[in-house]
Amino acid sequence: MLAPDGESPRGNGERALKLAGRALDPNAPGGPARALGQRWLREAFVAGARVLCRDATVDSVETAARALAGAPVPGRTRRRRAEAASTLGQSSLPDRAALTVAELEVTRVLDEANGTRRIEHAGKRAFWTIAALVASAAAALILADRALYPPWENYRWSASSAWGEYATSGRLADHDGSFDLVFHTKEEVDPWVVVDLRSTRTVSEVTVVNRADCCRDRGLPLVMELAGEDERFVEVGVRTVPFDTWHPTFPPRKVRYVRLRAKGKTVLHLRDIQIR
Amino acid sequence: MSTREAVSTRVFAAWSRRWPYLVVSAAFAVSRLFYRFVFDVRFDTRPAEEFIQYIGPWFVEHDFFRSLLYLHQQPPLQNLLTGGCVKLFGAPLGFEILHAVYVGCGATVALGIVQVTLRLGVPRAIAVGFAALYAVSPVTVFYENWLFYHEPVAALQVLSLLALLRYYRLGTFGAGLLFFALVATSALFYSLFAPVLVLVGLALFVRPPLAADGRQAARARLVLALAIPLAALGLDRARTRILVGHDQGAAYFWMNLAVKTFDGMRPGRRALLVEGGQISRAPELMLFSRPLSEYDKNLRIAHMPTGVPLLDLEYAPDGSLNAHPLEKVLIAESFYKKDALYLFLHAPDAYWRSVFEALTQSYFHSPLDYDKSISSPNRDKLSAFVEKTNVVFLPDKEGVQRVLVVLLPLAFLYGLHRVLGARGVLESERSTAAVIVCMLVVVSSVTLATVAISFGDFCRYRYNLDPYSLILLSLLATDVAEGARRALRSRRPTLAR
Repeated sequence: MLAPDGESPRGNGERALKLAGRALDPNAPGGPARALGQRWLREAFVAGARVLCRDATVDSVETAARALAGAPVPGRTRRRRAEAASTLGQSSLPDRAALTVAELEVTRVLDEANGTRRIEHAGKRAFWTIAALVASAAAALILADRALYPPWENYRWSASSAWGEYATSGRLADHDGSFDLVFHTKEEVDPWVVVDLRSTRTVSEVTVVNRADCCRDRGLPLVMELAGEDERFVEVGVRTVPFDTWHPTFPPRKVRYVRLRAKGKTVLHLRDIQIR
Repeated sequence: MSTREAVSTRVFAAWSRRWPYLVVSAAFAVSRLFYRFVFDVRFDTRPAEEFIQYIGPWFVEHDFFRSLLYLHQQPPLQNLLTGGCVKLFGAPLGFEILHAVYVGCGATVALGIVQVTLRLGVPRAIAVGFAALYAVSPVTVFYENWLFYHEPVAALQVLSLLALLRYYRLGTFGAGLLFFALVATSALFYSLFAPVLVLVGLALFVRPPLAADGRQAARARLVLALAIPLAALGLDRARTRILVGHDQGAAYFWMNLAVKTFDGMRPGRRALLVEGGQISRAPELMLFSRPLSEYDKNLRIAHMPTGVPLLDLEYAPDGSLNAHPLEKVLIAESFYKKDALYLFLHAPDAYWRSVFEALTQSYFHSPLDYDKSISSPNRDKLSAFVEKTNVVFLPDKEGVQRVLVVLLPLAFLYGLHRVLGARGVLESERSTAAVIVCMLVVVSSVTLATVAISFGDFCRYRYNLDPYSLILLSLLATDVAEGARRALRSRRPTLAR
């Protein structure tokens, strides 16, 4: 007998399972001992079946398999048990993978016999941990992408003219010139910039950020106009006094183009145009 | 059984045990000859003269041990190895010996991967396939021929896994000490491994190796085995604190953080912050690779001479730039630290953009895509070949290797599944789970630390994690192969019907 006198079949099963695990560990001293592992697994399987079926006559893998087959369990469980019994009952040495599958099944049988749920809990733990990790990583990436790379940064703009190193067109994300500006027109009459949203979108808010280092009084009065595909601009706000940021209020509307136009002879230069 | 049969049985048994090592050794040797004679790849010792991580040649020749003692931004072992060899054997021979050491490290990694995977139950064919692919890769050959800390660290990492397996086989204090000592040695080459030591210790504490005298004793032994290498690392940190008066690596840390955020900002925004006086001009410059003369007078910090040439001299007497004067640490403390904190608080978007781009793009480049401004003859020689071999990784036009974008997270998730899932409960998985936990801790902590702190070269840092990802993928491949075999077997018609 495997356990000291008086020890229960439950204890026997657990001890045998532990010994089987040690024998089957590929890192075991001298390498895995499959034959020994198979023998210990048989002991554990028989002990588990004996407790589970309350049948003291179960004394071999075959009788254990027969007893377990009579238990009211789902078909999947029955198939798994039959496969484990086949691995443990075969006279030739099973491969390591088959023994691992058998070890899992024997652990399940002992779990059921002992009223524990190690395998089931571990499966759920792994599933939820990985699901939570994947979901939070995906959410973090999507949120970071949206927060760090707002969609308006890809909208293209064109201006009435360009001063110095500045361009007459580009993307709102590009701030290649000095003073951290998107664009900088020459001094001219009614300078303007038009942002193309590339398709018609519902716009509910436009924030204009002015140059930070100086010259906030330039480009005033500033008119904001919106247009659809037909390019017929409608005025939605006018700013007449210097500002750091300006967001005129207007009801949400379908927009393809946003135009900012200064009135009179002046220079227009802005740090950001954020379109939401 | 006749004598002849007995001999042939023994020969066959010996061959079946050793063929994986012989095949990988042969692949290793043939590939080294191939790269040497076809691409003229030679051991590149220039980092020892040019990289900021090294004590300059003049200091090695004239004041080596004192300089090593006062080295403040690096753990000491890479300089001890390099400088020690040069000091002991002279310049040409010392470098030849270092070359031999590096080839030995390369062989250790390749054969170590075979040994680890076999010990984890991976079939021989899969173990050999993965290890041989790693061994013959041009990236591996490049790093093996680059006098930098990556190759010794790679060897130590694989050796530490073997030591961990031994620890879980024997469960003794000595075996545990050997494992933790190897991790600590990695940390004395590469400072990012210092937190790894503690994290791995904590993770193994949950499921220590089996011991005849119970789990309590196993845990006590683990803590004791961890405490000694940890104390050694603590002493090294204390050395810098006491002798130099600053924390080891603190100046690198603040400079990296400041430059990382600064680089993530738009040029105009940077200029406004500098001109407005919110931050200094320091983040425009790379502190340790630039001469102090490039710094404005208001950024310079005079200090009393310490009497240690490494700390006092901006240029060595041979005219070469010294990367380690104390003034640079003081500048980091006074300007980079302040600027890094200001930028982090006032331009968090720039910092997080840098982190995001590191994690989603640079990290998945080939490890040869590190800083292009650093000239490297071996990289130039291999570039055309690498371009062809990289095709298997399906790179996009930015250089992001799409296959790795899928495989590296997959390997990590598989590792988690294996440890936390049903198989992780099994007694036969105790050693495997310990090794996987160790690899997951190293991969996650080094990845997070590098993307959070460094401002570039993320693919270079990843080079040291690739052997671990490869081992995880070999375990996954084993499961996939086994699943396929079972599926095929279950579909095969049997006579029993």
